[in-house]
Amino acid sequence: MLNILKKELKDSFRDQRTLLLTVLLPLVLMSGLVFFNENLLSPYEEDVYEVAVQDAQYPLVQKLLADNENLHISAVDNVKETIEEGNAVAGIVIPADFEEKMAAGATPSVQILNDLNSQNSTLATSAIEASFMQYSQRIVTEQLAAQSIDTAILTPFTLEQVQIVEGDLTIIMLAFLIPLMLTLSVGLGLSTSAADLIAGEKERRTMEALLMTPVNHRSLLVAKWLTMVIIASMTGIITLTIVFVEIHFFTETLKAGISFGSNALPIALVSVSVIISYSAILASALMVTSIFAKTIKEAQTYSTPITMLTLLPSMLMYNVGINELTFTHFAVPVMNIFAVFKELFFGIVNIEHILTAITSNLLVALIIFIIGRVLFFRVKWVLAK
Amino acid sequence: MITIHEVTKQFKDKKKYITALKHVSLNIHEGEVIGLLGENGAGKTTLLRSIATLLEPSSGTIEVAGFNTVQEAEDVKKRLGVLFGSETGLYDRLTARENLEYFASLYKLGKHETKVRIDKLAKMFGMRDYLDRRVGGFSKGMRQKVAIARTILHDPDIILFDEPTTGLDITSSNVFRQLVHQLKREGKTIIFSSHIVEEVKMLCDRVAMIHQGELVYEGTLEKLYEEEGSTDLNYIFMSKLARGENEYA
Repeated sequence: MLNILKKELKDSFRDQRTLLLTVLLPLVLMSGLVFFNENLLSPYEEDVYEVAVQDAQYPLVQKLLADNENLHISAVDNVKETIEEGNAVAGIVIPADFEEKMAAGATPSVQILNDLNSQNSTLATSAIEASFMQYSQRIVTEQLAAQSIDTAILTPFTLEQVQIVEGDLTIIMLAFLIPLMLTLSVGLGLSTSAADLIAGEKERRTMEALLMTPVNHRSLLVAKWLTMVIIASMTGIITLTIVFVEIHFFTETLKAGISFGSNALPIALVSVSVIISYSAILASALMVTSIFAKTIKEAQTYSTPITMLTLLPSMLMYNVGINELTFTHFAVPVMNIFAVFKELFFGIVNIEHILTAITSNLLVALIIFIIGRVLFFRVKWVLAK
Repeated sequence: MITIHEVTKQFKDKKKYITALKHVSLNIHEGEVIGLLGENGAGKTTLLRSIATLLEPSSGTIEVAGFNTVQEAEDVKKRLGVLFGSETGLYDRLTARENLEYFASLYKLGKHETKVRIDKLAKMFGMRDYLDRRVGGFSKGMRQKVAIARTILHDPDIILFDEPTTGLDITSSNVFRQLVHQLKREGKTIIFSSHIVEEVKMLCDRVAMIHQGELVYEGTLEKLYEEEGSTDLNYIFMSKLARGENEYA
């Protein structure tokens, strides 16, 4: 069996598609993910947004928003057109007699023109709103003071949020996106090899030559399955390594958000174990599709929806908080990848949860493997017509 | 050497059964070269696959060197070399040597024995120059030589060739024919299926004609010529099939 395994690994890794999907694809996918999130989660104080205002109102707006360093005010002829042409991300339309009306006790209206499809426009709108709210509070405070009323009347009580679970938006995002990309990478990395290992043998008619040797079917199948598990696990481990190397060396916000400290080694070991157990399920499933298929193309047609199906649990897990995770989340195969990684990203290493997840995955992998074994022992499924 | 007794093979296709072989009986003696003649779909490949243990007869028995192909498949496999098609059973991303070494390990040949056998076959087929090159870049002729080398790597007593020259050019076909002559001189028992009548005439001691799963003739070429009053094997083959059509319709 070892000879078959060695040959299968050599053959698979000489295939450029395997190298492309196990190394290059995770590199591209994960780099995109890391740098996109770094950009998304970085403090936006450094960004300056272009805001348009009509020529006549420029001095007034400039005065009101002078303290906000994230906004750059430009005087233009037509605010709406300027935004539509992409020369500003938001605009302000303010009455010429804004201050006079307020002084007279009227309530003048200020319009913020924006494009909510644009993240920059949304952030600029928030910054404009914050400045106007600040200005509004200052006016109210001054008016109350003028009437000798204590400004404390405005705050009859205070409302405070206390975060009981450590972690911020960075961790929440990564705890969702990394397992998602991981399952996708492992699926894509394995699909080509899995199709080639059995359906490919049938298509090339090398399967007949193999079955004609005294080697037994079981050894042959186990060796092929192990090859698939190794390729899938390697893809997963490479994927995670790329993520953590890039976060450590090329990011600031993400690096600050993720700090495993002394838990780093156990978390790494748990991650590898979970990846291997997930690889075992996927290898069994794609092995069965490869046995069913007569050609590589047919096997890949079957493997694509299976790979996509593994992404489904991520949707179910997105809104589940760390303290809401139950036994079911760890017992359901594939879903448990998301549950375990969520805990790991929050620095939790719960042995019971981890063992439940790994055992459940290996059990399902075994059941699917047995189905594959039954099929593989039937001539109909292993010989080309 | 090979005893085929009343072999019938049926395949289930959806809800109906298709009979690929009907009560075929045939004895093949040691050191004999026998040609299986028949049209495409006549049952030649099914018969060879059954001898090769890949298919289990629906009824009847096949014995190879005294071993039953169902109950003693492993013993049968050790004694057989099989080539289905002209150049199959090779891995493109491995070198010719790696392909041969892989199959040698599956036949449990030792390292030294493997090296000796590969060297001998490389010399025999003139493969030394490309033995360490990947098979993916080989011509049809080169691939065929490696495939044949793989088939006889473990020095089997019995060799099955299923349409070995299909799709090959004249030079490659000649290489194959020379090999069969050489194997015959070494005392190997060879069965090969073909629909090329001239090839069978050139290589075989006996022929077996299969038509719609039934054995319509089995015997020496001389006997066949005598019975049919002609030495034109192509003509004999066609007239046998035509008679078979009427007889078994």
